[in-house]
Amino acid sequence: MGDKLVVLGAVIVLVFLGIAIFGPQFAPYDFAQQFRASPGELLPISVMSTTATGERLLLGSDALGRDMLSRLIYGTRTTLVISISSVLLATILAIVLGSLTGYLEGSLFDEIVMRLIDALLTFPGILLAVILVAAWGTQGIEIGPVTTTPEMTIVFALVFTFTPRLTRTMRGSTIPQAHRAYIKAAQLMGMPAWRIVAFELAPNCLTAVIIQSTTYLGLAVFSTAGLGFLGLGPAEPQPELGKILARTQEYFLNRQFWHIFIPGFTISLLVFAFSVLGDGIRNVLDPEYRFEKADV
Amino acid sequence: MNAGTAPDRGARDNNTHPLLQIENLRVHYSAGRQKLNAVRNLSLSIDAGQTVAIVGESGSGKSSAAMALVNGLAGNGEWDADRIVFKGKDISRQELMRLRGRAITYMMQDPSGALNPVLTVGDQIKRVLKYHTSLSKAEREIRALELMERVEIPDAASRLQAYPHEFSGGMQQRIVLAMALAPDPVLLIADEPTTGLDVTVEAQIFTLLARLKRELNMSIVLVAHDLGVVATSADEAVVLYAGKVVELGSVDALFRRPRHPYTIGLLQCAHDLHRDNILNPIPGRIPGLEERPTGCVFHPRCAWKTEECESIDPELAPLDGQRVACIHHQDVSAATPNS
Repeated sequence: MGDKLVVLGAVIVLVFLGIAIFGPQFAPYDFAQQFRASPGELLPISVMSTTATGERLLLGSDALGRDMLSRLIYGTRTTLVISISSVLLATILAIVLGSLTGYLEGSLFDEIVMRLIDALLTFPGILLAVILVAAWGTQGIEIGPVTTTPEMTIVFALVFTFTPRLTRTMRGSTIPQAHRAYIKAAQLMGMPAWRIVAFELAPNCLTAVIIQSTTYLGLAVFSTAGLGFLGLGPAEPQPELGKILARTQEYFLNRQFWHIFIPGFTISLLVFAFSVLGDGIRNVLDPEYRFEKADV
Repeated sequence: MNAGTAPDRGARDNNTHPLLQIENLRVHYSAGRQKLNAVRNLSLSIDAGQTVAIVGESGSGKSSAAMALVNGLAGNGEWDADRIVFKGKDISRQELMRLRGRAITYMMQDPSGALNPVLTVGDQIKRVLKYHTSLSKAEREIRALELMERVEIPDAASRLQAYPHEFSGGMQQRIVLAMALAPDPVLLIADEPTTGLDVTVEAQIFTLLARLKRELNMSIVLVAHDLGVVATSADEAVVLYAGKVVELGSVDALFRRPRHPYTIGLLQCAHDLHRDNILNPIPGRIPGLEERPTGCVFHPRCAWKTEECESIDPELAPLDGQRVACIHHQDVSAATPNS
């Protein structure tokens, strides 16, 4: 049963990845195009709307007359890009910081980094990301000559939220390995510290952090959509799943509340698929868990 | 010699100086405000092509002494020496440290731990070559294979792609040895190289070490607690007790005529198949770093102890080519017959 769920999760994730990558090819319309029911009047909110020019919109339109299906496809793309790149960046950062602090356990560098991380850990869950995005704004920030895109702002905020815990995990798995004889052997061979950390130590300590980061993918989708829902997503007209969900509130006025299920179900499905897949990856990578299962 | 051989291989033989001389090596560990002496004034002189053994019980400081030579002491450990002479030239500690990994390599005790579990053994050997030689990628490939063959690993070409866990303990130690030989060292420090291996494998490793030492004209510092091993594979031995050298000399002399009560005790502990003797252990145990007695460190366990021993810390005194640190050495050697 568990294995089948993992396969299902993997299939769903792959389908969503396909949508994200090839979305622009098969999205029926531009996500920002506003359709009109008649000249001068925006398309009303409904399913299977037909526009003044005769296009039929499969999932209807939003309050601004834009095609729901196209926005959903582009929104999935935005959400996935933000969540996957934030988890990826956070994981890389955590591997670097965690292996260095673990190798240099007790040093000044270790103390400084870990106390900063402790400080970041005091913010519960998504709150830190909310504060950061609110502070930086959703229009992008200027860092010297480079201006970040709004998406990058959200990615940075999420990296700040994910990195502390991942770094702790990486450091935790690095410390016991750092005291193993092969590290001593590498030191006695006269290898420089950075080589030892990068090539000898870190590759032996990745399992736990990779397991944790895969489970973070679901959380990242949830957080990205959450930020979007709270109005901290990318600026209009860029679609994003959380933002689309927030806009479905407008359907309530039309007594078509079930519209909320279109983006809502999409988000749930993505989070579910990533969670199941993360569990599956853990089962493969974590031998202890595998043995536990075999005993039963 | 193939690619990767040090160019001064021949020049080394013309040298009449000892390869490495250390005068008064001291190692101490700091614990809080205390400084605990692990090794006191150990002097070593290693000739080219010679094997010098550092012998002692656990806690005698033999590993600390060996680790100091490659600057591998634990974080709270520090070492110092009055003089370090390498190939007839005075060098600083920093210069000695720069030799490690190239001219001086270290072979770890526990072979299964000394190899990185996630890399193939071939990669690990090539990594040493990459870091310590100027060989090209293709040359490193050839040299790695040559090293595997040199340490007598059967089917070396295909075994390069194997991971450490696919090898037995003896084979793992051969790979550790191959890695230690990769930079073409002039001195190999082998810290109990056969710990955890069974007797037949132990014999194979020492035969291999002896052959390689001859072929490569390499010197070896052998850290050992097993006198049998020392008798068969070392030229000179330094007997260490509680961080202090109690006796040193050629292995022949030490075994024929031990002068220090501790050396005698150690020899009596050794198995002897030909004499149907009962093991005769030395009473008591080696004192810890913070409980070293005054006077001669061995006096609490010594059968020759007199009152003077509790106050006088004997110096190493020369005696027929050996050197011994015991105020009663004349009585001791008179009482013990040549064996």
